[in-house]
Amino acid sequence: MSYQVTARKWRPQTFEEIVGQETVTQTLQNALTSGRIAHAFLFSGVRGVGKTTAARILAKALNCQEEITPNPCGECVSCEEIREGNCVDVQEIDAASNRGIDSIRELRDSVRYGTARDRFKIFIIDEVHMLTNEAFNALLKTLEEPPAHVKFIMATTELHKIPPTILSRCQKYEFKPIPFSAIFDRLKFITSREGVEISDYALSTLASVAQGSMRDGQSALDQILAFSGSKVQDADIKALLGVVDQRVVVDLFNVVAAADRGSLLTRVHELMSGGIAPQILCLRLVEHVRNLMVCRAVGWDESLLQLPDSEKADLEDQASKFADVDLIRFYDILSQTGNELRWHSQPAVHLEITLLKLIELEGLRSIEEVIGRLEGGGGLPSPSKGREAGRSLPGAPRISRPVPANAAPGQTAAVKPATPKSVVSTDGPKQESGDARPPERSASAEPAEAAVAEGASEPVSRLMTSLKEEFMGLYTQLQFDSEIAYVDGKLKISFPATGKFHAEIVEGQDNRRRLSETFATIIGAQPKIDIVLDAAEEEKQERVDPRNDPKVKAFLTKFPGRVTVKREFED
Amino acid sequence: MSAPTRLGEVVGNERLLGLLRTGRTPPSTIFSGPDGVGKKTVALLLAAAANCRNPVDRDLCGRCPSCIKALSGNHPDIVLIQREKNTIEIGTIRKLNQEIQYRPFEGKTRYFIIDEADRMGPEAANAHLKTLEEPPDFCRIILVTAYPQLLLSTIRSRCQTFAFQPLSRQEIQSCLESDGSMDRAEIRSRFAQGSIGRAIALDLDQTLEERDLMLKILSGWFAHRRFQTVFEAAESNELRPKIKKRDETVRLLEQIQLICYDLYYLHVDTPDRVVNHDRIRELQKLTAVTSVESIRDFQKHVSRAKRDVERYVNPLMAFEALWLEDLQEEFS
Repeated sequence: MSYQVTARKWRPQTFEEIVGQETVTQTLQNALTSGRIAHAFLFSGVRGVGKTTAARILAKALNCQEEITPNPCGECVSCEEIREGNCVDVQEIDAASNRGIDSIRELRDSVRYGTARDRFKIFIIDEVHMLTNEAFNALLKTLEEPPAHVKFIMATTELHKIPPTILSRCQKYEFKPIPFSAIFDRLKFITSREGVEISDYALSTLASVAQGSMRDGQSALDQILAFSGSKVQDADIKALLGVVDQRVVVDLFNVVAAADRGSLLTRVHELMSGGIAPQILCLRLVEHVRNLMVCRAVGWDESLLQLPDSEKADLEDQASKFADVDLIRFYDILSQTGNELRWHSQPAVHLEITLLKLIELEGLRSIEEVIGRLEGGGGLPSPSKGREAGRSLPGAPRISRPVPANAAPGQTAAVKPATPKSVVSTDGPKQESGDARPPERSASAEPAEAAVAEGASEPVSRLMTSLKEEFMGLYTQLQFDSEIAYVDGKLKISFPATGKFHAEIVEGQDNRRRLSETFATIIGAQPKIDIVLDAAEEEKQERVDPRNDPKVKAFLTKFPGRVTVKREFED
Repeated sequence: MSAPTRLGEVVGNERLLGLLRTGRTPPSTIFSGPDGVGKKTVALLLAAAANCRNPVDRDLCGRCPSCIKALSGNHPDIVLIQREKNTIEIGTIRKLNQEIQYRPFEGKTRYFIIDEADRMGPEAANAHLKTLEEPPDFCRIILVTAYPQLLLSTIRSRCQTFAFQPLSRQEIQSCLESDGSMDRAEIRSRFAQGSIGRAIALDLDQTLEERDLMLKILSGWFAHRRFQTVFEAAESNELRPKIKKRDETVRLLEQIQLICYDLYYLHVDTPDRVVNHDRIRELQKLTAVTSVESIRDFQKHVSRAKRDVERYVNPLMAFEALWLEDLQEEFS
């Protein structure tokens, strides 16, 4: 007999042999015993967990010549033929190659005819998710009420692609990924039956490569057997499967923890020239970060970690070395890199460079920590009133507000939006430089006037609201750095020297009339309107080099950075 | 330099080849590995060897009618499937599914080799699943791909993967030297990046010329960071015609990437891996004005620009934007 892969050779022939799907097999067997058998089944689950196998066993159980049985004999003609795949009454259809409506029409036609020999006519439709929409719909009526001699068994890896109308007509069975230990045991059973010498370590590596899929594990086993014959050396496993050993990954992260750049690069390079694909390594690292996170969150949990117990100590030790935020960052970087590697022309180099980044991240501290340290030793620069004021929206009209009682006379009450004058390499000083301006004159500096202004600021904001509704153009012009105050029955609108253009627009084109009419409806009297262009202000504002600004200086002593550019904003 | 015509002539990946030559391989396999390391060549030679009438040490004899047909690509039992346009269509795979049921015409084993298997769309790949899982006894299927991770997991689970490794610089160099038809084997092997195919196809003079241009721009950039200089260089007679063409721009960007990697290696003290070894002095000068971080940031923009050019952004714009982005990064 010619060479057959393990997955085919050791394909289970009875329900008992199917590993890790007890709920499914139990349910099916009970149904067979009690005779309450549905006419359509849908098996779903990831690759290599036993869907097609279960479908074939179910077919045998239904058509076994003795009777309908949960334990097909495997010896009668029907069982034999189904195993060989040449039974007339059991049709296995590859829905991925026959996905059109025509294939389903053909199927529907053949459903009408009786069986050739056996009890049931069974259609196993594999990869059913690949049927087209039309094909699915053409199947609906048949699937709902097939003749009594017809059974459908469908299998798919992608349940979400099956229309709900199909789902509701089937009994659904979800196959779960097979646990690590079950794969391990099965591989051990197979190897012992085949007379292969293999260590538990090697088997556990195979089982973890399988990632919950029995066939993946068996394919890997085949690969090893092809290479080593009947005596498997532990060293072969790693080299051949391109598996990154758990110990290697742990070591790699120890190097990261120790921040040893050179050693990290050499190790990674050795791994990759030893035959490990960068993508695989990256994936493995992501997985390890995940394991560390799991370990930190819930401790050692075999079902979550899928690792042999011998790794417990190392993993726990390493989990204590990294903080959660580090791990999250590692995860972000590595998973992003994983995506980039797919298309990168030099994946190996790209991965190396990314790994160096992990070491640098170690140096990064959380923002809380930085703040904590600053508060501990010296404190942050205390926010001044002016700094607070500087936070108002730049460009919004500065409506005069009453001065707070504790404000020093002469201090600015009209809020001047900060104009960014310089950008410093660390964030923040924008407002600082805004403050650095000399205090501005204000009409409402005296307490007596402030009382008037208090009543006045309200009409001003009402004016702005109604302007916004009625004369949008005018309102927009007033948004350009203008300062509006209502003092002594007089509406004073002052523009900075740079706002000459806007001042002229407000003056002309009926705008002045609109302004006075609107304001008259608010205060109930004809207001006097004064539009001034503040020429003096501009002269006062000397352009200060941000580097000499005391507040910028103070800032730079707290946050190590440097002033890189000086940017000025002109109108 | 011609492609190997015997399994014994294939360079590198000895262990893997030894394993493949034993013949104890399963019917469905994936040959993965970077471009230009000989995956397809090995697949075709294996097929020829399996059908050879007088195999010598499991290698093909090269003289029997079967070998002659196989080497000229006319063997009826060796089917090479390649994409016609961008993808391998479902129709092609359906045809394969049917054809695979026939017994060998004249040889012993029928081989179906699918080149660039990652180009199978989801429909085609799914249509292939049943055949891959249970192919007839007298057939072998080899999926050749540089991007195995792009294959469906359901495909990968049905096949054994044989991962071809990039060749070492020494392997490439000695192969080029022993063949003798290629000049400057040493520098060629450095630019090959593990791919013998690339080493052979490389236009060395052009590469070196472009490399020097890029190195000059980069030196200026890292020292002064003046966009003006780059802009003028891009408008110069040497560069302008190149930057108009997509593939040439990609090549230039790859050169920049290589230089950046070199700087990286110099920064972390692994100078033996530097590709542009003949310009090591200039590179060392550059390490003084760069840091690992600044190169990484810069590198990010280069990769991005390369991706953009590949994705049909105007090459000149992508090329110039990359420097501006780097400047912007510095200021923000």
